[in-house]
Amino acid sequence: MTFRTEESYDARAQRLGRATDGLGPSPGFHARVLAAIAREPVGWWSVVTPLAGRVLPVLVVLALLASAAAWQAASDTQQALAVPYGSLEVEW
Amino acid sequence: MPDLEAAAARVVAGDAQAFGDIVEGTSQGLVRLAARLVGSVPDAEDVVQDAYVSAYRALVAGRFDARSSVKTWLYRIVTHRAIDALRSTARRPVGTDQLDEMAVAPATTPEAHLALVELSQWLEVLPPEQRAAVVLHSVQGFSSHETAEILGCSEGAVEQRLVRARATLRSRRGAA
Repeated sequence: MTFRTEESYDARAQRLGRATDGLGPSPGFHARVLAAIAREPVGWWSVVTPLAGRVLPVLVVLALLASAAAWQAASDTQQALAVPYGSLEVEW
Repeated sequence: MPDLEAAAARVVAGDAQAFGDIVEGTSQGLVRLAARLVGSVPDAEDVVQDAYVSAYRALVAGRFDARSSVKTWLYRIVTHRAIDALRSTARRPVGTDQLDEMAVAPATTPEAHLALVELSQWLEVLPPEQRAAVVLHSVQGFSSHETAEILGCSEGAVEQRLVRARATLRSRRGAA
């Protein structure tokens, strides 16, 4: 451990940067990563799943718009039914 | 150094083997960055492996928009994975198995391992975002612009994190 109390922030950062330049992956790391990649599913499902993430919000918005339109249509119908028509005198 | 952009294009086109070129061309730098961030080579390898798998999924699904270079994109993924790892480590107590793991970290040289321990102890008082800014800017030597691009924030935010980190480290040194 070479901590020096008088060492500036920049000097210490640069020294530790140089001292750790030799760090790297262990020998089996590349093979480990490629094995993990090989386990990844390939085919249509890996394409469809992320696409679903983009399409789903659009479908939700469309569903909300359709619900709003249906509610508006039902409201118009109720309003039309509530309008009093001229009463009809029935003569006996 | 393989052509990373060409290799990424081949992966997008369905050539999974081309991802090996990306790993070969970037793993040294990415593991080094992750080790400086999380403080141990085994943890860094886990972070980088997760990042590679995420990157591969994104390439296959066409989610890499090529707005930045492949290298910068991978640095960004690794940095954010490392920040997540630091956050989760901060929440759970360090067990003896982790200490043992750190002790036998397969660093390239004993000197590099000692320096990594010193770096980790020096920066341990910083929140993960400030630690990432210090490692990228002051240890790795990236410019403020590059650091901001990797962290996904403005250059002003990077400068602010660096100022706060320096103040924290200075006060800690004063208290020591």
